[in-house]
Amino acid sequence: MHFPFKVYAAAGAFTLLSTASALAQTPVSGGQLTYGLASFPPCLDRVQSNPNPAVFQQVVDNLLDQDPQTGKIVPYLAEKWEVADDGRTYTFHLRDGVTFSNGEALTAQVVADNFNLLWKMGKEGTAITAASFLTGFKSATATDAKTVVIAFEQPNAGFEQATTEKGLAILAPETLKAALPDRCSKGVIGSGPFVISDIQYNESVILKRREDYKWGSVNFKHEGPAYLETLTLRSIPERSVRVGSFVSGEIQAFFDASTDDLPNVEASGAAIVSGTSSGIAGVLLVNTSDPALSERPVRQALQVAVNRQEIVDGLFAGRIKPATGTLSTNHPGYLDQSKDLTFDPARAEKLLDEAGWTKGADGIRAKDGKKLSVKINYAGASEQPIFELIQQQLRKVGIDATLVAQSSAEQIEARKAGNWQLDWRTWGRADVDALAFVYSTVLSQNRGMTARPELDAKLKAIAGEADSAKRKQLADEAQKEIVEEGLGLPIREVTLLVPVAETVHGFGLTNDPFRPVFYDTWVDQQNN
Amino acid sequence: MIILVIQVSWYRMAFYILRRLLNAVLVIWAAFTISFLLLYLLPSDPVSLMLSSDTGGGGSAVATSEQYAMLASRYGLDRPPLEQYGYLLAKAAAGDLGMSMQSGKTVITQIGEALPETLKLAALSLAIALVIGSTLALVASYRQDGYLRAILLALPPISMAVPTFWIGLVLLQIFAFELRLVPSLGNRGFSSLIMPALTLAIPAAATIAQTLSKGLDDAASQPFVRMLRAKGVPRRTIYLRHILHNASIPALTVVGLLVGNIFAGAVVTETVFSRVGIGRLLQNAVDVQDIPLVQGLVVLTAAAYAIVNLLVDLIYPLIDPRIRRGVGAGGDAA
Repeated sequence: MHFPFKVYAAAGAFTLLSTASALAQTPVSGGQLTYGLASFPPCLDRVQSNPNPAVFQQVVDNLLDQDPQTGKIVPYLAEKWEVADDGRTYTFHLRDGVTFSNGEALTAQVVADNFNLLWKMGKEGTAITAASFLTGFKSATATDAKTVVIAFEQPNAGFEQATTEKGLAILAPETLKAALPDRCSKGVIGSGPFVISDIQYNESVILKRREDYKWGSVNFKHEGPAYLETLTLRSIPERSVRVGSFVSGEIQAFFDASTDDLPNVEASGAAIVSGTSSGIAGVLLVNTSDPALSERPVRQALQVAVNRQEIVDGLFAGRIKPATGTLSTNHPGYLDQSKDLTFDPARAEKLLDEAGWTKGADGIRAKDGKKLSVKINYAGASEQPIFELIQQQLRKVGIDATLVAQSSAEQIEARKAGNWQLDWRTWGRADVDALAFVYSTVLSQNRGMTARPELDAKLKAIAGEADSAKRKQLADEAQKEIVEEGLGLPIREVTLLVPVAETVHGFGLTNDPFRPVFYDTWVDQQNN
Repeated sequence: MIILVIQVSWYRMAFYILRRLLNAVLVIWAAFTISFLLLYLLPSDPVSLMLSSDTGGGGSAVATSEQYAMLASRYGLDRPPLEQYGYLLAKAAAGDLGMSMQSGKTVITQIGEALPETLKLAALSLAIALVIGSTLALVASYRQDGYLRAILLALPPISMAVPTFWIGLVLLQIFAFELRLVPSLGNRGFSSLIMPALTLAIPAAATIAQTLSKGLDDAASQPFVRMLRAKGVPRRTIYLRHILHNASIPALTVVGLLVGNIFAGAVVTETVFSRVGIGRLLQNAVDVQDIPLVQGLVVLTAAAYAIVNLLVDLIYPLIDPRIRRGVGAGGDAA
């Protein structure tokens, strides 16, 4: 009897599927995985403002961890902790038996040394982002072998969450003594599940698992050493080559796929793991000192003239969420503001008409002989289609938008000089303190916004408010003001799409998708 | 008498080499100075860039002016530009190109890691380019009939018009991703070197073929060829021994220039093939405005260029006795 070919094929596929699901239930220890990166980390030490933390993430642990779904703070290297004096004093009780990969033991003194050094580095300008978590730092003291007390001059309510940020990872004494350039080029020593075994600058970093690792975060899905024996992070700067290497099996996952890549990638049977940065929703920050943008109706018109749904549907095939608030939907401080961010061109036109901006023959509005035009600043060619679409959308209500693609150097200069109108900003941090780093006229990298003492005071108060209900209240008020006043135009969530080969399981992205976690990742044995 | 002539020409030769060497030093100094000026004219400054490595989901906090000042003084960037220039130049003359601002390594170390890979790439691609280019030119010039000649002569302009990265991507697609004959990534021995070398060699071969075929045609129309034909020397011998010899001088000049092109092409090729090398290093360094590293690489490239052209100048007299005599007259060979 002859079965048609299709039947064989179907049966074969069925067998494959069932094997795959059987394997999916029993993780296999061993094997290796290669992860493609768009760029090689220029410095392997996250503490010194490292733009690419994928290596650092694997080799360190933090005092606490954050549940990516709920935003809840959970134990990690510290098994218990207390907050006292309205957020001025934090006491951490360390778990037993933790060692760094060079054999040094984790003690309260080591933790205290970490914070004291970081504060010093912050003052010297060598770790400003990481040290910004320590605002108001007074001292870090070991009260006994397992207890460390960190004290602040003024309440630092965001510090609990900050200890989950990789910038505050706990490093070995040997690393604390090392010269800063060496920490960049050779990497740091931590207590994490992987250890750096080989660095080929601009090419790859090879990580080996620690066989004695047994102090993972409660967020992790298993205990003991990582499943993967070897993890290679390989830099592949050219996008199409990342896709090609993935489809041909040279790499098993890569950072990150564009919508255009997805058909190719999915045809190879890969899964797409998406991760959304918990933080500020990607926003066009508004420079309120600009003559046109200083007018409230203009800002409000901009807010509803943008069709966010069209952007995510048209450019991201619906895989990325439009901004529905100042913060991302997975942020613990998320407030649903979708009502104020709904596309409403009629309202935009009405606001502009009433404000005296009338349409000219070319369809662009003008007032007192001045055209209504805005410049949109951004860096990175991958974002360009978004702004091209926004340009078309604004044009429809009579606003002329010019796109200004900048190098990172130009961007920094323009922000510093206050020479910008609309500037594309993202900021990942799963605490409401994140708001201040973009929207406070004092703390934002974007200079030149008109002073707004009330909002600035509110954002500052968030940092010092220990009562979580009051803190949420302050953050909600700030978010309402930001959207209703049009101080920023939240556009879309910052979501990365990572293709993962069929043979790879348990790969996950945290609420900071720029640093994937490979601890629970495992690969099918036939792959090895 | 004969001994005296040799001694005089030896002395003149040494003087000639010394002059070329001084020229090379001047070129390197100019490259150092111009790159310093250009880096100062670029937007933003290295301290701000170091303070705000703003990519990915993070971004950075705002530095206070104290933090800025501390970092600037750490790298000597708070001193007046002229003083910085003098300091850097003195150090560079002593062989110390300073410390990369991003990677925490010295510039010399970084170049030392990357240079061998680029040299391998450049050497192989130059060899391929010479073989392909000369063969193409010889065959095209040797053939008298129309069609094949026209096709062969059309190849160089076509391949020069195709961008290098496109050639690289097509080669990758076919040989690495579809046929899986070679690895697509990184520096893994000879097999990973073939495709990048070929990518770089194609435009270089085109240039060689074009120059050489022009030279061959010119030489072939000279009276001595008719003379040789009349003496009964076979056409093939005339081509390989006499015409090629005469046509090789302009081609050699072009080879000297090609080395510079290959260095420039390495930026694209090493990026497409994810290779470690000088080109990738330069691209990264420019991206983050790592001034010491950019300067080190510019100086290196200028030095390579100067050395290769010096070598070419020294080879000329070996090929052409007229130039050998010309050296004596104090003229530049090129």
